[in-house]
Amino acid sequence: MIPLKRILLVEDNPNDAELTLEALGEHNLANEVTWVHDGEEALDFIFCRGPFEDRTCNDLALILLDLKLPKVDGLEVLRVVKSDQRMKLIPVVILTSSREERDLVDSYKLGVNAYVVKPVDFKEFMNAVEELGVFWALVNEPPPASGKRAR
Amino acid sequence: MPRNANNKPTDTEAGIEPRTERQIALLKAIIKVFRETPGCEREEDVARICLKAAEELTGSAYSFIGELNPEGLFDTTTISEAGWKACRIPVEEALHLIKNMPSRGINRIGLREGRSWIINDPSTHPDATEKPPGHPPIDSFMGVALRYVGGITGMIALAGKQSGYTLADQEDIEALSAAFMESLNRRRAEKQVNELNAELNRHVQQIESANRELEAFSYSVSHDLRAPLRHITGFVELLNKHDQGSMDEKSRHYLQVISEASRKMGTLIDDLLAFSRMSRTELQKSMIDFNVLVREVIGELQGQEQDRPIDWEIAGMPVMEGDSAMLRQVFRNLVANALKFTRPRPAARIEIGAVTDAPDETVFYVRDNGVGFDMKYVNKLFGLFQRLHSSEEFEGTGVGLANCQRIIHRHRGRIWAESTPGSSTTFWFSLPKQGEV
Repeated sequence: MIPLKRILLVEDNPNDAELTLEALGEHNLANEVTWVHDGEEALDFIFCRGPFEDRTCNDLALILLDLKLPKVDGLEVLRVVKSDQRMKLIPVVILTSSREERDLVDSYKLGVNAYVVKPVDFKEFMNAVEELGVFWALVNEPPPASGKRAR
Repeated sequence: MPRNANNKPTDTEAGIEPRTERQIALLKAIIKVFRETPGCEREEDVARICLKAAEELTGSAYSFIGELNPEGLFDTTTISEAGWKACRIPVEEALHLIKNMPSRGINRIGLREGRSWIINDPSTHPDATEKPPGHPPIDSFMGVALRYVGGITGMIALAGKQSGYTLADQEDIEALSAAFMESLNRRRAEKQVNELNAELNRHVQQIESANRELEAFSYSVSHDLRAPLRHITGFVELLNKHDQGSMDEKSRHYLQVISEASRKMGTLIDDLLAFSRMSRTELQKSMIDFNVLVREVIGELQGQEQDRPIDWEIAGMPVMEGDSAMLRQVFRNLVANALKFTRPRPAARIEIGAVTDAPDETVFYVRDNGVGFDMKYVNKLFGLFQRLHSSEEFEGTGVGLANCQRIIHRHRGRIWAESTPGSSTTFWFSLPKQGEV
């Protein structure tokens, strides 16, 4: 069995992070979740640089991204990820603090894959994940015709 | 009219000609004033054009304009080009001398009395005063009082006509000065209008920027309030799951209260956000079939009321222009209110309609036979967070009607209500008609 890919949680608020980790953990999601606190740390992690130089790269199944972040904000992280040829394939789910932020055309323009409203409700999270078609990355079942899959 | 044998004009008739010429010259001068002064940057430039025209018209050597200042002293405001040329006093000294002069001497006679005056022998006039050295010689003089807005405060003075001034000169300058006053007053009025407009614009901008700040404030407060709130609800929920029978009845009750209170606050924040968002978004106008819109709204809301009969009456809904999403929100709020406040009634009756025969507006109404409210509180009805019923009686945050009012005002309409407690309530709102089909 190949190891499950990793979920990256980018969230500056420890309470929100804890609630999200609880929601994911409660449902026995087997993926390893890495929690980083700001946009800069997120980019370092995603691109395996700085303090994350030595980690195994290209292991991300999903990025859960808050929009309001210290240093580099969520939209900027999204922009950098989506303009990189390799990284743009990683699905990004924006964590919004209200449904209102669905109005943020900006993140759509930058190619965000889905939204989940905080606090992260596991059902809503799985719905978003299903929409993305990255279910397989989380439950470790290869999708049908995965070779041809164009996300 | 007497004619001589050769049928040539007599002397009397010939005398008409110079008079006609004078009139033409006067007209030309007046036209010149009206034509040239609107382009002037300063009032002084307007005055110079008029002085030059007056000098030419009368054959004067020089001229000036002056007025009484608020201290009652005399300011010479403009000296003609020819006047400055004839002046032998150094300019700086002259500029000082001509301001704040005591109002006396021959110059001021007519100014005091508000009439024109001619003095062709100033040297022997009893009112004559000594001129400072270098002052242009005054051997003949004519003054015409100027009627500014609000009264006579100034004069135009001409001097140095060799043959002396005549009544004809006086009439000419009176006419010319009327044209001068007209352009000057108009100019001052325009300036005042411009200043008032600029001030108004400044105020509008201040209000707009205050408004934007307020919107940004309420938006960010709503968002920032949300974070701790969802932590409260999130962790209460975790605590509930974590419990596994270790908590007693009372503790569980406390948690339930915390839970409900946070949910309530969540609704408040949502409503506040919707309210602030509504004022930030532009109106998206389109033609709306209100019959369809109202039936859709009823369809949405009726689902929650299946256990009781409601007698709906919908009449005369027009097709007209407006922001469909916002006006849907208005009907949703008004109909939801009607449903809410008829809940204690065994037979609820809700009428929705429109009065379309007024020339400039269409008036919509939503009437119910619900509990109603005391009209003495009617001025509170549309205020943000204002409620006329306790939340035990009827739930609500007090944002709905504030929202309705804002939407209707943004459509340039009016909204009001009438109620008889215990019997009926009618909400009215109007939309201006320009967009109706």
